[in-house]
Amino acid sequence: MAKAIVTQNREDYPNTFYGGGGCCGESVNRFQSGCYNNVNRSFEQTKQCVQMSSVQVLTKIDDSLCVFHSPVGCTGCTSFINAFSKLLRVQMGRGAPRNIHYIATNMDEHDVVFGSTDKLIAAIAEGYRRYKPKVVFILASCASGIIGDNINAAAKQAEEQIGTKVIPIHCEGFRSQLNSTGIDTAFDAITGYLLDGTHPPKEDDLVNLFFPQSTTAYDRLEMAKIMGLFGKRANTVPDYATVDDILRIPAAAASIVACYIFGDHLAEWLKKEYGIPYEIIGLPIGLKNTDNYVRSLGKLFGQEDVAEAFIEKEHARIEKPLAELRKKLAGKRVLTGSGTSRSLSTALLAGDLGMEIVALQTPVLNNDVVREVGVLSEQHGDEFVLDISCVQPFELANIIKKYKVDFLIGFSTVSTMLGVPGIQTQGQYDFQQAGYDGILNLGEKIARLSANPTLQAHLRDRGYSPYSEEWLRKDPFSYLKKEEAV
Amino acid sequence: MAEIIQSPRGACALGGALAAVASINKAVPILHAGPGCGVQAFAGQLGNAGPNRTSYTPDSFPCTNMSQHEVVFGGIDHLREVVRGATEILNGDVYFVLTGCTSDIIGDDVDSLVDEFVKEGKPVTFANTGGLYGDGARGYEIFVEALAARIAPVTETKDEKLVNLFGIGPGLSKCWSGNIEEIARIIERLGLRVNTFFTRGEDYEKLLSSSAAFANIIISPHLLKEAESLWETRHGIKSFRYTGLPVGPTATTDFIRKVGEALGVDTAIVDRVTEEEESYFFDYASVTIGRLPTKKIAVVADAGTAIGLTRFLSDDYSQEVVRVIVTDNVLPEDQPLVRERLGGFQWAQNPEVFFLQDDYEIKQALEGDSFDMILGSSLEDEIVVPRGLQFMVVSIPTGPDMILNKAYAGYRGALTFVEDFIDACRPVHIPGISL
Repeated sequence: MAKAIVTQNREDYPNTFYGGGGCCGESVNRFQSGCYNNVNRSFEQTKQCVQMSSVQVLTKIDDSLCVFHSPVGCTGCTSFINAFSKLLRVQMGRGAPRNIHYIATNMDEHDVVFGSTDKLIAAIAEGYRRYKPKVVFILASCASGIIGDNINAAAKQAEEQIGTKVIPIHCEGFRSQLNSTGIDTAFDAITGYLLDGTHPPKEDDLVNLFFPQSTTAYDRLEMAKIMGLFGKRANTVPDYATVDDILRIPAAAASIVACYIFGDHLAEWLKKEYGIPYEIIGLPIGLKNTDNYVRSLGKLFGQEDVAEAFIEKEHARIEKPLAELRKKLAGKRVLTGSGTSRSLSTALLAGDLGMEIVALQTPVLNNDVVREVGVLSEQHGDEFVLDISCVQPFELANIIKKYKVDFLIGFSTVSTMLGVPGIQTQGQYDFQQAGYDGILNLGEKIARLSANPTLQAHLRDRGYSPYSEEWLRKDPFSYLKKEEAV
Repeated sequence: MAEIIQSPRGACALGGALAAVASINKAVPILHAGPGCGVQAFAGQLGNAGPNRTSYTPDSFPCTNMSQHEVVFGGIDHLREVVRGATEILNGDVYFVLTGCTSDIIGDDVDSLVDEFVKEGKPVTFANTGGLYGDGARGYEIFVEALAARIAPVTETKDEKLVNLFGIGPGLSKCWSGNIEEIARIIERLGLRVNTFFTRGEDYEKLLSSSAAFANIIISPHLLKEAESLWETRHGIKSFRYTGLPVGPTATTDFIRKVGEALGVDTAIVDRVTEEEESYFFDYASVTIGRLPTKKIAVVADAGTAIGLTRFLSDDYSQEVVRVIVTDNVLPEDQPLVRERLGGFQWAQNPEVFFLQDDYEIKQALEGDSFDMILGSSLEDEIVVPRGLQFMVVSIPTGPDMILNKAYAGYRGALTFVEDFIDACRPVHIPGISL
């Protein structure tokens, strides 16, 4: 551990906002004229934290060990990631299921009062004895951050003791308003501590493919398959990668970033340090983003003709079934919400299916989002609602009622309880959403769910939604504070 | 100082308390905690046990999402806004503020803030549940202590038919809600009424009526000792404790007889109920005889579940349990009792018993070839394939299985256990093919 790396919080980037809501046309105008301000909510629901995003990147590095310097509760999501990753490992053909290796220092009252870096160092040494990992990550917590345990010094000391890289990850939950900061924190650690100064031999057919960790195995395989058309292999790091695979990242001929917030940092760093070109596209869900994915590959490798031929062939192939789906779904009023890229991609997909966007929720408002919202506005007008939040279901419930939403694409619990069908697009592992077949697949599911929303109606009639009538009558953004956030 | 734990089986105190509050009908948890705590604590505890009950406010708990600003300047002002908002936005009978590490370490005065709302006549209460106070089981204990100390009104009037059922905490074990329902069903056959608090749509009313009960039944060898004395000193309610989950006819009849004795139930009723329930069990169990497995088993579970399943398999179902690994936090002073309850069977030999929470140590204790089946958590799946062992999930984290009202406890639950157990004993388990 040579140096301390400080990652900038996402909300401190230029033109990046995390809190707001209103009509999309008006929001975009304010954004473009430089008058957009972050506002906090006086009421809010639980969000995601920086650490959850860091662990999504780091825990799946095969020969790594993650040490959580925290009470056991901070491993809650990791236990879910563990279950998900065992399944994905089998689906991706990466061998038999095995648990992620992670240890919690199990911080308690005593540790909080007296400090516990000794225990942290002992946990690292014990973990090293057990698994001989190639790299150890220390994941900070709110508790370790507030009491001021020096995890940088602990990393240095542990590294000297075990003779293997120990990397501190400053993912204290309170440090940023945007959990995507945790992705950057993890990738900065990979670049700063693992990749910096490495020069592996070039592999001209290797392409780094970065996508959000919620991407299903089927979507990963579909993206890799399409890449194969151009004679390229996907380096899908850091998933199930070994440290040696990570060290091959700079060997790649190009990088594709299939997300607006995942891996963009790393791709930019690779361009600066190694001259590796990259393209940032949305998740390849829906026609436009799938075309984009194919075209960006064509552009990177001078094979535009291959790209155009494939796009034409695929459009022709799905034209008929897509027209059938449009007939079924025409005019349905949709709300999409989820992570930034998934929200935008699925909104575009809804348009492909002939549905009408009435609201879009995204955790971030930035240049990418404004550009994509512009594309959506061409089809759906600029009156739809833009909710800038890390999923605040109380606002979505209000919007669903007020704007008579027929279908929700995203986290569907909130709409279900109000009698409105929806499809859960995140945390799903059993179906393909990406690529041209993904369009039909998602479309079929949406059509079937729309056709028979019986459970939703029963739950609505029996009062399973916790939201008060009074609230559902108010303006959805009543709890946005008037003053700018500091 | 707590030991390090690889792959903890459950969340922190906040997770256990959140699981409890979220399982009460029309109770709204409000987290005064960091931005990830709601999801982490929910996923780590209730989510890892099924999820066998959606909460009233699923995946959308009000939370102060404490950031640097609150860490530096205190978070009470924002908590006031969030509690106010919650009472306006969410229909609830009670609003339960649960604190996380951040609030507990910086020392926010949540008690006084809650008082402001109580003075307005709003049903708001709280508990300090920061992860630094311990694991999910500790969080459940903190909830029950808050119930006794703060929520349940002191009353002289006791209802001679009403009992409170404690010890099986939400999200702390597989089938927790089904198990509570089955045990309540049997107790109610004795002519008593049961507050289960977390099942059957029970709401705030039951929390308030808990102090009118004439007795508590605590099903756990080691949990709720502090709460037990609080109930007695503050409310004059004595607790009858049963040390382990009653599974199957031998244990459940033993449980019912002891409950009857402690609570003064007419022995004729006890005899009739146990006789009918045992017959019900054996009428079905006898049908399985052609497929009765002969397994040598290792059990990996929390103390309550481990005692329940080990006693059932040994005393009722002709199996051999050779090794038991107790995976929850059983303090050294409680270990002899748990060990004793994991032995002393009519015919079966006593198993080897280990108390381990760390996954690496658990896996080491599962080495050797003295058993051919593991009844454990989803964390054990990685060792059964390479070793050709049979496997059944009986403890948390349960993995992807959907668990709703399934029970393993009592008479009927034991039949469900037998169904799952025999299914898990198929010689080759191929999805979609019955062998």
